[in-house]
Amino acid sequence: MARVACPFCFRHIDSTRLAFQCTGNGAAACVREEDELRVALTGNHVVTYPTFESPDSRFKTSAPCPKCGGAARRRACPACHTALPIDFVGSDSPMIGLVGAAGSGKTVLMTVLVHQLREVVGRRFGADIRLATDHPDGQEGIVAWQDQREKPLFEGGTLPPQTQANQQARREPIVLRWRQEVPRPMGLRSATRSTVLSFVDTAGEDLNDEATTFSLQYLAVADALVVVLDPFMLPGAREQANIPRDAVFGDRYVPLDVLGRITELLRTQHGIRTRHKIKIPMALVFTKIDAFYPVLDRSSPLMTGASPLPVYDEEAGQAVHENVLALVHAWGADDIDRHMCLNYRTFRYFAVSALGAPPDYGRARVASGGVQPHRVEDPVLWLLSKEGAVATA
Amino acid sequence: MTFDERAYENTFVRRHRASTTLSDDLLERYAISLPVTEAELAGHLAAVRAYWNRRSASLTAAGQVCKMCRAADEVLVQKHGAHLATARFWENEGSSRRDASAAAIARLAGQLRETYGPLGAVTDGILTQLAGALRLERPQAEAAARQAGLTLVRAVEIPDAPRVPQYGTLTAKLGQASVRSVPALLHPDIGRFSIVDGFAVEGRPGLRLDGAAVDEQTQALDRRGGSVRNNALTDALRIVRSAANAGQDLRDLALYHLVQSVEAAVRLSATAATSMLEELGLTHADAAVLVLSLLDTARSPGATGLSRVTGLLAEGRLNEARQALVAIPSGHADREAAEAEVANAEERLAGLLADAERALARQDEAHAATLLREAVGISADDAGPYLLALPPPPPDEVRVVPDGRKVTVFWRAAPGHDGSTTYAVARREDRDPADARDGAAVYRGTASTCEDTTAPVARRLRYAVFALSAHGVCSRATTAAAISVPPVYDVVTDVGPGEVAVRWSVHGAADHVEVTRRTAGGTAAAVPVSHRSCHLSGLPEGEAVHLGLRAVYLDEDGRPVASPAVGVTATPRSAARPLPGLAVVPVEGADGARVRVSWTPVDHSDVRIRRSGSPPPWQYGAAVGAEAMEAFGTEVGGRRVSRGDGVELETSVPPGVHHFVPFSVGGTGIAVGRAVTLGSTEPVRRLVATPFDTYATLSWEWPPTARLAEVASTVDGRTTRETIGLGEYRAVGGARVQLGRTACTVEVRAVVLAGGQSYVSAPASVRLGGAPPTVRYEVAPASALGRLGGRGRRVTFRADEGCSAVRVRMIAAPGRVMPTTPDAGVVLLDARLDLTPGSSAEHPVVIPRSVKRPYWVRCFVVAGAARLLDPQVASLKEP
Repeated sequence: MARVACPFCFRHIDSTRLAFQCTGNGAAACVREEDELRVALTGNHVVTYPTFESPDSRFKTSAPCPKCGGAARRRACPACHTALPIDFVGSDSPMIGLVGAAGSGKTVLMTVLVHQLREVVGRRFGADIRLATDHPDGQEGIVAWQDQREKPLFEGGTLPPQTQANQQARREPIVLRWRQEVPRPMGLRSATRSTVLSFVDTAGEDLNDEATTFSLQYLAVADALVVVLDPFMLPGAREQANIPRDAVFGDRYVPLDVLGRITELLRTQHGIRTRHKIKIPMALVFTKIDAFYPVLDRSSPLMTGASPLPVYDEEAGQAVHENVLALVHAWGADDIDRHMCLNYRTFRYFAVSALGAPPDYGRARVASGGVQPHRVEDPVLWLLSKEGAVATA
Repeated sequence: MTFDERAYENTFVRRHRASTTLSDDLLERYAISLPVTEAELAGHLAAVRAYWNRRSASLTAAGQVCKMCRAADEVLVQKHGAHLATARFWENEGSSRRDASAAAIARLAGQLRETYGPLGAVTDGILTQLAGALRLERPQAEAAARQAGLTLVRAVEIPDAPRVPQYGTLTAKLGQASVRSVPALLHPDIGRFSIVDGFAVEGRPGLRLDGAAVDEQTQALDRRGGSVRNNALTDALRIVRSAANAGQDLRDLALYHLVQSVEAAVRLSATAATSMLEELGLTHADAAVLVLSLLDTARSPGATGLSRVTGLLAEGRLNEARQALVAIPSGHADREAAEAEVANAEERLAGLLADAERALARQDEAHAATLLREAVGISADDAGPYLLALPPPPPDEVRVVPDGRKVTVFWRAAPGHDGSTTYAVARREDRDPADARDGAAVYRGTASTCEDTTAPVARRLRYAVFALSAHGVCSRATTAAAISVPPVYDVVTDVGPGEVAVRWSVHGAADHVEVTRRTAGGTAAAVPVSHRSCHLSGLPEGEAVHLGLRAVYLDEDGRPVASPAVGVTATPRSAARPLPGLAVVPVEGADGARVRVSWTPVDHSDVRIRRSGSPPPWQYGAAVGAEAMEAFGTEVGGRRVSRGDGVELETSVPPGVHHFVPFSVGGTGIAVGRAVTLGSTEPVRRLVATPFDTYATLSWEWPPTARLAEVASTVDGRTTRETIGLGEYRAVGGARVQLGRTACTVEVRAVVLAGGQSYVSAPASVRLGGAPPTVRYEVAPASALGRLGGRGRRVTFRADEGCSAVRVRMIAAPGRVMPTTPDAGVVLLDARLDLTPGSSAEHPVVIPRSVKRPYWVRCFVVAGAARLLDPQVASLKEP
């Protein structure tokens, strides 16, 4: 049994026993209609053909629709009846939460990360990485996602508006399918391995004092967390770099506050006592590092490009971790590190830049040279290496 | 007898302000009181006429009256001549007036008798209106009433609607019970009663109209028991009692009921209405007064005098308001307020008209129009004619520009002009036109410019522009003058190997044309002219000849007037040879795509460079005409600079593919040179290099037309040139250039493809610093037992590319956090490195016991150029 979380309803399901969803190919007419379960668990009112469970679904790739008799091959979550990528079947599909304070750059990071995984990391690993759902992050489709999220940023040079706090509405995840060939021992032909990555972008305000149901459910099932921290919110960092006034989004949601809320939620949801540490791997990502290029040593691991090899470079990752830790202390934010040491068993610091150059915050415009990402994929590769989905050097 | 202007104005003038005609009473008009001597008359008439003259200039109503008096005086003087100044004339006039007055009184008495005789009375208000209409004074009107045997009575005030919510029910109940009036309800056996001066019944002084009477009658009814009639009476009494309880005067209620009963009949027949009231129980005298009161217009149902006056004033009908005021009886409650409103309106009107008059006097027509429009809002009758007759402001900023064979006149609409304003332009030569019809009519219309194509030349032309209002009133003139001296035109130049011929056309009125040639020394020499042309020969080839052509006219006094010179430059040339070579290269510029065009002249011909998006239709060396050349693309401009034997110019070109063609313009024709094709695009902008450890990221702003860019760099003597597409650039986030040991310059050019060929823009460049040589180091335990072997360490430095004079320092720093500066811990080693490529240097170090775990060891470069690479974290960090 492969127990994974459905990225749409956040219920734990057995990925080897997924439900089937009819495609309307039967002899009798099968009607698309709203699925009550889907509406109840995800709030999604899209009409679909019937979803049903088959007793021996573990061993079958199709099952006859009980209404029309047609062969149904599409798989769906047995809890919320949302269609899932076919790679979900029997796979380990880690759900990675992306959390951070308002203005920390989560949405930009997510958009650039998805683009970078598809365009650069896929090439580096010889993998086919692509969006695997019809509704990435609430967009109408993959084309719509590209039109509304990627093109404005990469071609139009426009920064996205700030993500609104999630009071009632749910945010659809971005589901990426990572498919690549892996060698097998003893001269056997290489096999194709699929991993489904689900990302959910959560506004920092959602983790406020009264956390929403959405946030609780989502954090309860996340296999790993990427916590986005904005160094501009640290006074010591602001003093080090020449940061424009309009780049600072206030200090209400300071990084330590966000971390504290996440820790409290995780401890509550997972029932972890104070004397024990949280096991969920956590990547602490300091964004907007491009603002510090002028003051960083060019030989620093933070100023080194990504490895061209199809592995996660653990040694370089440790060096980055130690260098960021030194920076955090230099910025006077050592309380963050103390909090992490006391509460988490596995964590790593990262310093990335989604845009590569300071944007014009006043006009919400990317620098004229366009988007130049720097090491944005590192946190995901590290988390995948922890899951064994990516090889480690 | 002295003329009292103030008294005259308060009486005669004031009474006639609203009139459009004067009364026939000459004694009043001329303010003459009899008897009078002729000596008195002479001075008096002079004073009166002087007053009329002075006041008639005013725009006020009083001025209007005086104007009418002046006009009537002219008629009288014309009719009676000097007789008008005799005492006898005025005594006869006095006698005539007395006779006329008696006749008028008799006429009014007859009318009164006929209309109001059956009633035996007339109200004050009615008499005042009739007297006003017949221009009779009050005493005369009263005499007429006496003559008619009528009693003059004061109109009774008709009460407002009673405060009885169920008044309609009350009248219905009275009807059901067959009771004719409210007094009859309270006193069923009342007989005839009076009510105008208070309720009274002759011989029964105890009867009253009050609550007690209501109660008494109610009790009487109760005693009689119920019936249909009694119930109706009881209901009526209950309503009357409620009204009395609410403070309603029952006498007013009774009077209102009576009026309501005859209101419709009054309009048909006063006599019938009087009889109806008598039938309702009213005495004849009260019935007559009530009917007369209803007839009095001031008390006619529907509007009170004050509201009518106010309404008329609000509508700008001052004259009618004055008449309505007259209709309000003197002593009436509204009279004073109505008089104040009319007086206020008159005062404001007089003030506005006086201000408008002053504005007109200082030629501020726009302000005068504003004031008059405001005055029209008070009295359209008084101010309207002035507004219609007001001239518009004259046009602004008139300019006259002679332009060749025509003269153009420009002007600007003045404030106050609108779509209905038309303009008239007139021209004279001897003086400024006085009005729109004075002189030659040049233009009439709504535009703000016109052309005079028939203007005489060599004459001083005086133009006047007038604005005409929608009613045809002409403004003052705005004038400007100019002299039209048309130059020669259609100048054509022909050149040969050693000669220049010039032809031209000139205005028919020109006396002759003067041609001068400016020499190299700056002097001018006359050139012989032969019938609109001149010819110079024996000229050196390739040397420009500068000529000036002036048309000369004779003015009205026969004096010559010369036009502006038309300059002609021609260069004697032989047959042109085609240009075999033309170089066009993109160059860096601040304003878009720029190219440098250069060539080496092959003869003295004039080289013209033209560019087009299409290739030239001619072969190299073909001869073409000037028109064909001009039709090919656009001329490439730019300042020509000589470079040795060659010539070059720089110019901006739009992005795209351009065909540059050199044309050699010689004395006998134009030769087509060899064309050059160049694709042009704007260069990339805002090129930025971000250096990292061993490479730099390049980013730039792409020009809209380019999808490719060429990145060229020479690093450590090795030149690389790579092309990157926009898609790849976006996918990987810019372009990447490896850093060398030394500094280098990177150039980026935008690339466009056209016709299978690529063209690059001017480069954008950025300077990159070099990357110092890399030195690696490793830290290992000194003992074979590893870290268990104690605090000794071996540190080994290696440099793949070698290094020299590099000083390194190794420190040990306690704590979990990696040290980032060489002074952040205890110094373990301070050594100089001079390494050949591939060699290494090893140094033993010992970590002092004072440095407790956890701790870090780390090396730093403290002098010299080297990039020190840390080994694995595990070898540096002691947990």
